[in-house]
Amino acid sequence: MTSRKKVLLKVIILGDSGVGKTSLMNQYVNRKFSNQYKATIGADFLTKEVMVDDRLVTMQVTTKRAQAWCQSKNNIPYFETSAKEAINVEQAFQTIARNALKQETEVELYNEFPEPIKLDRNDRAKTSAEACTC
Amino acid sequence: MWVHPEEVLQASALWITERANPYFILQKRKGHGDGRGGLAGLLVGTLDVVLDSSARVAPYRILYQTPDSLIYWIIAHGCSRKEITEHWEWLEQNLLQTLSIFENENDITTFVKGKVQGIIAEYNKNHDVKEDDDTDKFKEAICTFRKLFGMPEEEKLVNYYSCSYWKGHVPRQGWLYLSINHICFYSYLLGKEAKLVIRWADITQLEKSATLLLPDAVKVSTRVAEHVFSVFLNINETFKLMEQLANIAMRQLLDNEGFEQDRSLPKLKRKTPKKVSALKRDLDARAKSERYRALFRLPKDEKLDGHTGCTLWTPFNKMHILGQMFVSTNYICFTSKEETLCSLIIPLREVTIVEKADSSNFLPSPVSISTKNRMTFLFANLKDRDFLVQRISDFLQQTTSKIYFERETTGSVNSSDDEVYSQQGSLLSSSPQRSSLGSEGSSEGERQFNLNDNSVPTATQALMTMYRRRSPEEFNPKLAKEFLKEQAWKNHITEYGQGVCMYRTEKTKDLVLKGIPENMRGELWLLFSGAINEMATHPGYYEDLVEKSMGKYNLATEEIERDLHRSLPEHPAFQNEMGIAALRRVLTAYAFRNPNIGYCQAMNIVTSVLLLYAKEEEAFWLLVALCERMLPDYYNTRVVGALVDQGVFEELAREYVPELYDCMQDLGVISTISLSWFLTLFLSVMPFESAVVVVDCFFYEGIKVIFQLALNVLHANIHQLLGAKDDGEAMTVLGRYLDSVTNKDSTLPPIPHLHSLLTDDGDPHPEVDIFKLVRSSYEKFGSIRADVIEQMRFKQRLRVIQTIEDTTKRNVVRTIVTETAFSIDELEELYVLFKEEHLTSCYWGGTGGSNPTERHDPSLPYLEQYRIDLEQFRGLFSLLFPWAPVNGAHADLLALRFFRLLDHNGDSLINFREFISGLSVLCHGDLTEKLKLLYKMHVIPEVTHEQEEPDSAFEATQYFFEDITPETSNGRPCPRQHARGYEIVCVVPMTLPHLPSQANLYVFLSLLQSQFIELCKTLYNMFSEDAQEQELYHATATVTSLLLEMGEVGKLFCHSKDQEDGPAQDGGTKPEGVFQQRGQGEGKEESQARPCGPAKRDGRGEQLSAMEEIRLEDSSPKDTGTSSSMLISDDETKDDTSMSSYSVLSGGSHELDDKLHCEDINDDTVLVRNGGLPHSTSIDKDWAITFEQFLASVLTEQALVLYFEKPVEVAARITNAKNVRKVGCSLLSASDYEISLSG
Repeated sequence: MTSRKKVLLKVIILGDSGVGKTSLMNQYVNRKFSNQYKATIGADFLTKEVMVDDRLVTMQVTTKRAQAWCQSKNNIPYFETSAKEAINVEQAFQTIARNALKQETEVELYNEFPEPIKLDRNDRAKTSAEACTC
Repeated sequence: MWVHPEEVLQASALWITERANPYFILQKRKGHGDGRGGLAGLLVGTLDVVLDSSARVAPYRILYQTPDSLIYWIIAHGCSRKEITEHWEWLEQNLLQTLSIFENENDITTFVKGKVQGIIAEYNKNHDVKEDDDTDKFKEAICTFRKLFGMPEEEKLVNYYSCSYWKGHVPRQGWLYLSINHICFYSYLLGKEAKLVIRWADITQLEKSATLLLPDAVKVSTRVAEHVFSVFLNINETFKLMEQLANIAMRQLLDNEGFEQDRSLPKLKRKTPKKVSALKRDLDARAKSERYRALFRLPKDEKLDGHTGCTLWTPFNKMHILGQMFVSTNYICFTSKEETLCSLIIPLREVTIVEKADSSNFLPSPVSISTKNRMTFLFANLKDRDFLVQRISDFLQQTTSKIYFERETTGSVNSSDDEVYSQQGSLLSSSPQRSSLGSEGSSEGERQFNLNDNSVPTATQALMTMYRRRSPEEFNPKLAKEFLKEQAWKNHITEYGQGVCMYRTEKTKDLVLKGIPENMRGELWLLFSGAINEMATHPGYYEDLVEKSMGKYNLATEEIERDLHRSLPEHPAFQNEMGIAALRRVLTAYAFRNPNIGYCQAMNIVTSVLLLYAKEEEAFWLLVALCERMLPDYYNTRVVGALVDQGVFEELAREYVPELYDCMQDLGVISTISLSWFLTLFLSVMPFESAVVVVDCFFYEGIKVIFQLALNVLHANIHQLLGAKDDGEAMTVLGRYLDSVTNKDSTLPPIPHLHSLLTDDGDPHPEVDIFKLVRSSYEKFGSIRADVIEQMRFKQRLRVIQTIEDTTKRNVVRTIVTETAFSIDELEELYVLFKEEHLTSCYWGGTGGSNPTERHDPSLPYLEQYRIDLEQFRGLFSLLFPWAPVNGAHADLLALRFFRLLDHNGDSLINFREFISGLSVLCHGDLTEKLKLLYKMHVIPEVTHEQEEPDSAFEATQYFFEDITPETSNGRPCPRQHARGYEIVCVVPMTLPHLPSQANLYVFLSLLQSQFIELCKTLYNMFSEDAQEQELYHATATVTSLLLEMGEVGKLFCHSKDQEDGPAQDGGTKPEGVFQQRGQGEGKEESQARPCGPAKRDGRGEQLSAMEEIRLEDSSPKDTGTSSSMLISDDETKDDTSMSSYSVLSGGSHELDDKLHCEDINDDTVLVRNGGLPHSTSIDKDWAITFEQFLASVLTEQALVLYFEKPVEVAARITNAKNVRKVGCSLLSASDYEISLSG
């Protein structure tokens, strides 16, 4: 696989209302935190270009309001993050990107239409959408 | 007029053919019309007179003839050329193409005859309707309708139309029946019957389609099929009614309120059962009222009384404008013929004088209406002036009395409140405010602000007033512009009047589009939205609501609390507790007013802006107007209204920005972005000071503005959007564009738009002027009309609601599929049948007395949304369940037993999961599971069928079961009733271990003899149509006799036991002892299933002894189940060894409990004591068997084993059930069943 190719990854953040999905997204993309957030109606959207393991990746981060957090996935990596203090935000998204990329190679190998990305249990954690909202 | 087709032998004699086509001939009587006529004409005339032929009055006729036949049929005649030409044209337009479809000429003849007869019948019907004594014809139709489609009396027929239904390639001529809940079609032609029943609730699309073949047709689509109807006499009327009925059905699916609202329809009728056509008229009136309310933004309950053409004197341009006057119970409205010229709303509460002025040639029959703030309106050219004035004064009288009443009540409330709560006093701005809006100038209004400001700082004023910085010393250009705007509005007020009754003209709209001045926003929003009317007619309502709602906590308040600080955080007004508290009060009060909506995100954003410009109470009423009138269904649980408008927007985009549409479809952008545009009226996506301009326009023009603007935003970005690679980029394009919309006129201190704060992409987007944006949206898309949007909304609503229904179905099926062996397809089919059953009960009311509206709650989890009661279960049971016997009486009984077993929570309703769990066992369960179920069904305590409240006893038992714990033993009263009408009460004391569930518990109970007999009956009935009937009956006989003997043995044992330790019983310790004796050490539980009833043969008890006696008897333990542990060596029973080994029971210690329970039961009317105890002689109360005995016995017979092991294919049953449904057979109301007990 040629590593110079630009890859587009879409990340969707789901979570209960008011937990700080937008904050997390903004901390990651703009490295900003504001106390004044408006409730997001519908979906919000930001783009960020990052380098993941030498590959240029454009991350599109979408915040979406979801009715309930899907409990069934127990093998999802866990990160305790703070959008305010910017703790673990970068790491969490990096992990997501890396795993997605790994998944992508598999997809390419088997040449089938992409299945939902499953993050495997050993490596990493997932972003709990928990920002400490003060 | 159309005539019943009659054969005519000689087509040409005495008649001249004027027009002809392959099927029809239009003829004129010889000698008619032309002055001369000649000899032939003279002769014909004479003949006609002599023979008194109809041709004398009807000199024109239309004949029908098939090309290859000599026979002509007369189908119409007319007395004028005009009349006959109309008929002719109708034939040409509607029939000719249809006829070319047929291959067989006889079919054509039948079709044409049927059609003409249909038209005549419909014509007659319509005329009868007009004469108001329709009833005979219509009654007949109702009877036919009910008989044909098996509809119950509750199903109200609205109207019926003659039309053709396209089945395959052949049209069937027949009748289309439209009833409240169904659309039905019936035709019988050439020995072929065509019958169609569709629920409105199943319709996914309803379209008036025009194809080459069928110029005017209605296409009705459901999930499974499309049906085309054509050749209507008046397609528009029919289609309108269809739309209306479909809409009602959608509303019913949508929310609870829909049910109540629309159920008032048939109720309304019930008062006047004779006038059936009243229903149609009622629906028409409803539709008219709805349009009227929408046009003038009137409150939801306003009913149009009538309207008439007239002129209105408009002083501002000194003209008499032609238009329509509308009169309703509380308002007189006027709109000019030329739409934009002028409209006027006069609330009767404002009216002081209505008088007839002197008529003149120049101004015939004028009426002048004066209002409290001394405006006078002059109407003229009123055709029925006297009647109109009478009508208005009637309404006026009602209004004034209402006002006095309200004044009195609110007055007293106010005074007392003021004394007690100073806080409340500040909220009471309603009454002075009302007058200020009506008559006072703005200066007075301001003074009032100051007054309140001094007393208590709450939101009796718009929050903005506190944050508005006026610096008059500095005369900057923005303030100058603002000043000019204010001047313009002041001029407008002097010229066009102030308050509700202002003349609203094109000029008003122009001013609005330029932006309402900051300090007039609240007032004008209130005026244009119509919220002012609701507020004026509900003085004190808001404070009451606040008082009632504050301090209450529920899901809505929790969500509100979470969003309070996330509504308009950038504005200083919401950076302190005062603004937040006002927002909390308004939102909470609304959630309290309308629990159907409660709270929905986005309401917070809109409300915070309303609070900035309007006083708290005004903001509340504005919110009411938004949620309930101007943005219908936007904020309910699934934001249906916004989804509908999103669909409308997509449709509009396809039409108006077609080049973008294809690309946008790919990008999926429209749906992603537009939701927030609609839900927040652009408030969350544009900078605040620009978005309020949108809100200004919205309150004046309605939703049309939002559509225009949204289209314009797309249009303005068309090139960037077309160049966007993915939806992400498209969203960024639109996001940045909207961020850059500015209001240059704004005098507000600049508030940074949050969104733009977060995205700093470096190069800022060039500024977009909001006023230019609005202007150009009118120029480009201003032609979109409100009624077109309504039409599109209807179509989208069908789609959205049916999609939601599908989602619900998928979710339910997905949850359940892992629990059963049914396939997804089967479950979906079953779900549909289940839902239909639920809907049926909603249509015609449940017989169980449970209110269907309580059963359908869209806010519940998917699985709980639809539930059915016993009555409905019965229908499904006989259709779907393998054991359902053909024999009606027993089927009902069995259904009842089954239902109560499935109803885990004892609320007399079962949801889909419970339903499936039962069906699943019957279809896919193994032998033991099936037998267990069968056993449980019969051991379950029964309830009397005649009881008023069938579930009371069951609830009682439920209660007892919940109390059961391993440590304590409880008495369990089993009130039962035998089919013959007497009752036996048995109290079963027992000690049980941890119980998986109540239903599972039943398997531990012993089967009494009477129950056993019922079980045998069930078995016999079950086999009655089986192929192996003979063998099965034989096997059953063997098994039952075996079991009977077993029971006898057990009884003997039990009796001896009884004598042994009868009186010596020593409470809880004894069972333990018995247990050990038996050497079944493992048993942690003993259960006793000892029947104890007032059976005649009981040596100790008197028949029908008092409850205490029964209970006392009970204290003597009996052992009925000893044999079971010995008999059973089945693996299945091993895993619950402890349970199966229960053999002993005794229960002295729970006397007290028993007593209590028994008394409870007594209160519950379960124990109805019938007079003489009937012959229970054959029933032995001591006789009992256990499940293990039952199971073991069945296993000995191969035929039975095979029967119960055989899996059942449910697919065939589903298909069958669907067919039955279609024909409507299952719709017959439940037959009264009689129970007879055999031996």
